[in-house]
Amino acid sequence: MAHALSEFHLYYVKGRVFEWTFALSMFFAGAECLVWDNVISFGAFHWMLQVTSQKWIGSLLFFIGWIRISALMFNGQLLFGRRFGWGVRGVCAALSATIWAQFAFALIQGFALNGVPSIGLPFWTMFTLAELLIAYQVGAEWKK
Amino acid sequence: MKMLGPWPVLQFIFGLAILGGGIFMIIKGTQKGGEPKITPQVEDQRDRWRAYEHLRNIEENSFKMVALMQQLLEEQRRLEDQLKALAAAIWNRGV
Repeated sequence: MAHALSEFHLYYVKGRVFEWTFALSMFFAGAECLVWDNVISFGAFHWMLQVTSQKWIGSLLFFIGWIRISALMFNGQLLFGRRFGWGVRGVCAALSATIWAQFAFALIQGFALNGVPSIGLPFWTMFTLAELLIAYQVGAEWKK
Repeated sequence: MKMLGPWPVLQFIFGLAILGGGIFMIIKGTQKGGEPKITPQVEDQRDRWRAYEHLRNIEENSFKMVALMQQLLEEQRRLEDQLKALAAAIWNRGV
């Protein structure tokens, strides 16, 4: 059992912990938005609701999270004789960076209007930067 | 047009900039990762050392095996000579 878990970790998880973290977070955040109401209406995030509804935001998070998890599970397998996993993961990282940036910008707007920064601002900012770094690392894997 | 917060244009541009940055990073990564670099890990080096030790062991043992087989052959020849001598002695006694 321990050996099987070690093999699993080595094959699927090693070197991709951040990607798994963001993919699963996005997936479950999307599920949360789809199941419960008024999840995003707290604090500065309500400005996101002026663009689109919570259901659409939840669907977007859920869908991108699902695609990303699938790409991580593919892990180098061939489709039509080519590896697409790296491309899907890269595009998902870029899209995720855009989404995290929207959360961060909503908090920046709150900071600008209230004069007090939200505690979540550094987190969302670092999430955005981490996703950009992941996009770079995934691009570097394309020939492997 | 619905207000995207206090600065709608800036928010839209910010989102596009981050998306463009992500695409740019992917492209930079593909340029950097042209040749897959195989860096020997500690475990790989350890395995290689162990493999060379096994090969050295096999090489030493193979020389020993040859020497032992030559010795065995010598002993068999001696045994054959002694059996011939015994057979001749039994034959001569009978005659």
